[in-house]
Amino acid sequence: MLRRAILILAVVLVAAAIVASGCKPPATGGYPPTPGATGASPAGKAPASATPAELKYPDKYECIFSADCKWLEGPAQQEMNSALSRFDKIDVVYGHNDPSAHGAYMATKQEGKGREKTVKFIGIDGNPTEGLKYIKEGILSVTFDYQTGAAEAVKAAARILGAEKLPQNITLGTKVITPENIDEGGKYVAPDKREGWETVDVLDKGPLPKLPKPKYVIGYSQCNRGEPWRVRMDSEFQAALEAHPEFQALMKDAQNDTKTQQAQVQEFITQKVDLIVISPKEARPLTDPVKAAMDANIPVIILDRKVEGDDYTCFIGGDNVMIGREAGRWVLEQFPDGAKIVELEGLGTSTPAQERHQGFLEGLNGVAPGGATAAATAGGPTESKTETGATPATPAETKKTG
Amino acid sequence: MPDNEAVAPPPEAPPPEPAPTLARRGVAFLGRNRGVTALLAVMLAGVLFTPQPRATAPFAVAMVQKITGTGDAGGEGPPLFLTGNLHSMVLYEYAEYGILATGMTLVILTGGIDLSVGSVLGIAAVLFAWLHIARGYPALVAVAGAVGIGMVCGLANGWLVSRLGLQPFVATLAMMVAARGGAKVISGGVKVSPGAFEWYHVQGGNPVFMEWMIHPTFGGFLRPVTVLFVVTIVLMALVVKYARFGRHLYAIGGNEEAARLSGVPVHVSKAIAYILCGGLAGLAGICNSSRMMLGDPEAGSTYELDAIAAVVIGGTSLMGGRGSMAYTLLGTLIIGYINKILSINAVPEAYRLLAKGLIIVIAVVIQGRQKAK
Repeated sequence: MLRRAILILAVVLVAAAIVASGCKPPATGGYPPTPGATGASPAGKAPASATPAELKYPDKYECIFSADCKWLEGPAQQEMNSALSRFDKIDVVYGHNDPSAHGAYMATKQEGKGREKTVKFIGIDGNPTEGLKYIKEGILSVTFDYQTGAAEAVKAAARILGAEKLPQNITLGTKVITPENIDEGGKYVAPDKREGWETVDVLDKGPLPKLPKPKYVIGYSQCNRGEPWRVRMDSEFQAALEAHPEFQALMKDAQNDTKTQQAQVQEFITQKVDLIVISPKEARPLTDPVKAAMDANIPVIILDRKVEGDDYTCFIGGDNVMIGREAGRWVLEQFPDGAKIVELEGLGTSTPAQERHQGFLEGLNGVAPGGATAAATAGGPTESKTETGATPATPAETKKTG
Repeated sequence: MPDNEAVAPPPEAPPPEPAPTLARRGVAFLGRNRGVTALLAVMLAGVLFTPQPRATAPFAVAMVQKITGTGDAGGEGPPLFLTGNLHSMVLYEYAEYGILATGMTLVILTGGIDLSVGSVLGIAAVLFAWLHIARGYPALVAVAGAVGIGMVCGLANGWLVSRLGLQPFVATLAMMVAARGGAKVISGGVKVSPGAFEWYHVQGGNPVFMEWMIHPTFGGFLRPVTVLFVVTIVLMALVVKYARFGRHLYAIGGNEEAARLSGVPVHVSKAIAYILCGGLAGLAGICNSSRMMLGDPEAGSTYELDAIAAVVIGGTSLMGGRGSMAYTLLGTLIIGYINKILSINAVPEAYRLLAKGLIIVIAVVIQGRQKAK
């Protein structure tokens, strides 16, 4: 009888294969695209910029070694070891985040030749427990603050709940933090003007509106608390809430699980919260829940990673291209006669790594802010098609890991 | 001759018991069916410990605060547990786990176990997404492909267990790992989603079938995913209770040697149990892929533990031969409601895991004492 069962199964599979091979895949466009989901950015009409494909390292600033370190300290240390053994002269190491730069420093120190005193290390992120600590200890020469946008989200919430209309995409600035200026909190750099984006000072224009109700409940969903940067986002959000006693927040952690985050947004809708703040893990699976929230008249503020399409109230995020450009400009200032550069990149398929690399090249080539770069990458992480499909699961899913 | 008077008169018949009242019958039923009692207890906890809309504390806490005047964490309206929305969400979110648990029950009834259901869910989800999104085949073809590959994995499991005589734990452990690898091979290392590669047939938008699966299309509030779970478990319950195959499963689980000697087709029945389990895991993979709108090669990892927990909490014995689909439904609902209560109150994951472990132990201990009676 087992033979019969196998025979039936085989016949079914063969029949399915025949049917399948005979079926013609429907003509393109047979699937109704959700509005804006076809990779169109909020700046949709951004012209294909001339800069991206053409930019290379200028002659004096040679990139002698680059590697994909997936945002992690361990791989960065290993790649730095390879670079150290191959090259005698290394001037500066550009790590796409503070842990990568720190890993490179540790590798240089462990080499035993004392090179860590002469090589300059650049990091990005500026978390208090990592980047800022490394600056104070003299490990990093400079880091760039990747702002979380949490405090700005609270300001935006106060305006949205007061029935003010906000631009749909708000871009944040950065801070250049060096050992000299860390006590003042670094030097602030205003964000670029990008097409389809408003800069963050729009949140400070005019007084906050008067709120009609005495108490508001805000639902907050963080995709994971495994990264120090996201822990920082949560604490900045809670700190900003203290100035608004009429806001009560329900803070939920999705533990880096998309299903959990989908359920959390659903729960917020069922609980009839007044506003949702979300930092999604992935764009595609969270698009529908966010749309359902918008349909239920709950405004949604999105931080850091986007969803697909444009069915949300407000997105607040940093500009990685600008940060990369500041890093490039810093190298130009510190090494007017040229330098040998090692670049330790973040996860190649993630947009922030691509943008930080792109911006770095622009900075080295002396591209001015708001120049052709404004059109280069005009969207959040869903811009790059590889992002939604290609990012593998944890920990590489995250942009930065501590 | 013994004197009749010397024989003690027969003891008087005990006075007849009063006809059992409905209440007494109800209590007796609950005592016999600990699973139902547990579910009712969980639902009571749900009423007390979910918040009202726009509240920031659970209902019971908010009520206490209102009475004692110590706080203002309440909201407006009945606690969420009394709204239909929460229940439909629980059924929707736990449908996948429920489908896996249904298949797992079949295997556990025979005294075996299937650790690969999570990975088979993953490979089926990836294949479904790949056929539909990457290659552009119609949805039904993709569905057949996903269920088909689930059944093939189940067939492999069944063959290893019945023909080669491997321990089910070992055989399905190997399949767990192999299927995960297979999922990664098919997906090419990415999440299969529109536009992930340029040669994909679908470059943007959401496939109509996936949208259909997750939106309330039946009667305005029932989602096809939920309906699939309910239909599956009811169907399997009928099979297990009334079909000859079902009786074979119980016989094999009770005493395999005796079953074989009485003419039960042991090898074939076991194989069919694993095939069905794999096929159901394939269905669960389709649900998973529709909910995520993409095929994730990591989908389903650790789901097998939740499936086993649902079966065990419901009351089916891991030794085999005892249990039923009704128990599995109870177990799935209990786990689903408990998870939902913990999730709606934003209980940290660490405590949730501890709670889950504790619940499994309590459930098994209670059932053990029930059987010992």
